[in-house]
Amino acid sequence: MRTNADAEGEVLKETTALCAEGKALLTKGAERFGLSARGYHRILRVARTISDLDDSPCIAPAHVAEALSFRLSSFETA
Amino acid sequence: MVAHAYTVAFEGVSARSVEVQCAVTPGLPAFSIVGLPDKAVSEARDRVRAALSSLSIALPSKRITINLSPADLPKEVSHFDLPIAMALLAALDILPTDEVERTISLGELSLDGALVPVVGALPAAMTAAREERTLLCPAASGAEAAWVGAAQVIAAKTLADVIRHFTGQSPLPPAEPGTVSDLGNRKDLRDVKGQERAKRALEIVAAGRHHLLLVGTPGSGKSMLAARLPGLLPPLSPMEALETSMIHSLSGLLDEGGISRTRPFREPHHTASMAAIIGGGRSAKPGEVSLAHNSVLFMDEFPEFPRQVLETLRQPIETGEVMIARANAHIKYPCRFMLVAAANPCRCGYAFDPARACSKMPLCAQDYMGRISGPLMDRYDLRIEVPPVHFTDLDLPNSGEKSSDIAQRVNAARMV
Repeated sequence: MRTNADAEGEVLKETTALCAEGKALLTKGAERFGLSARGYHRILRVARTISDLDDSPCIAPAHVAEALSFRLSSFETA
Repeated sequence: MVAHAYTVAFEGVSARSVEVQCAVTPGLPAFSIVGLPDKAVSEARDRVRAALSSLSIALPSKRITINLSPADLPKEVSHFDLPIAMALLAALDILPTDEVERTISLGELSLDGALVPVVGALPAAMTAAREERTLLCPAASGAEAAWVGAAQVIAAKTLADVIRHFTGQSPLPPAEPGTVSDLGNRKDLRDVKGQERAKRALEIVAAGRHHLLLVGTPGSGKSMLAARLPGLLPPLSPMEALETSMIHSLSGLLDEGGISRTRPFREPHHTASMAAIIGGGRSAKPGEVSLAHNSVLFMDEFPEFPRQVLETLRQPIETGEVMIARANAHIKYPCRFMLVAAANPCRCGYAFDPARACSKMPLCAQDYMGRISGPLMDRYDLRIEVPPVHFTDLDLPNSGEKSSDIAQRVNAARMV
């Protein structure tokens, strides 16, 4: 395991500890944008990377929000 | 009598050891090679004969049979010349048989007896280390093979040198590893004016090996941004450098045996075929995705790639390895790359710019982006727009952080 993108299953669950508010926002975002299971996990990994860059112990709502913002664009056709 | 020499045959990145047996028996004079040789290996016969006669060694008027064992494994490259010559010389009592049996050799012979460099010396050295044998290879391939510290590597310029080495007349010194080529990335992210959001996205993908899609009008700096991504990444760890170099060695891409610690930046053109991207061809060579292992694969003009090529990327993106299945072989190559794709928003390119967008909007943009299928789009972790930069902004002083500063932050984040 070298990078966040390689985290899967149990490892992903263990490494991506969400703050309570972070979790709530992610659930809301996933529902609102109709994320696939893969999409959900990808957001989770990106959020984890952003929190790593911030040197934060858990994934805060700001990190989830930034990850979501990078995922969605106006050119989105789906 | 039967003499044995050893060499390797490649299956993906691993090298499997192959025994070369040579029997010189009474009978009508003949020289035959058996054991599934392809055309290049069969022709070794003539090269070996000419190289030996250049050293004034005549083949005896007997029946010479060379067997490449295991006999059912196809042998496809020209590096069998040297082991065949060595087995033959051992059978003729010119080289000591026990010394030859302790060596794995690979190399192509030219007609005057010089050794021509071959691909794959690095994986061959790994096999030699595993089997506790010495590796003998052409001088030009010695530098890359010597990187495997566990194996003793001897590099010779000519077949005459090989004979003098084994007969003890003038032993060759062990090969020295090539220099670490570290040109460094001179491209700095500060060269890019504005585009702070894109820079932030680059920082995130660098830290987490995520995949990124950049969409923007022509000339907005997409390629420029992508080209600066390797500068944000930490140097390859020794293990990663070896993995990446093994693949490059198989493709003959290592310059003068230097192993690079800088991450390669692969940018295939959009006319590339499926075999070039994924790997394949007659001998299932690694493709661009594998050459970008542990590094960056940049695909400019992403929707312009053939649809079939784009769809085949799905599995490698997900699993980090690619399985090339052919009727005669299943070969697995690692490909844990970071995909950065750039695209225009529509065919004319100005969909985001109301003043310049053509009359076919928004249908044109939907059609163009539709070439990237839903499942593929879903695999991008980050998808961002790169807005056009106004030309007056270009005269402004450089802004933002230096690549090296961001690289430090990225490195720290990767450690967590």
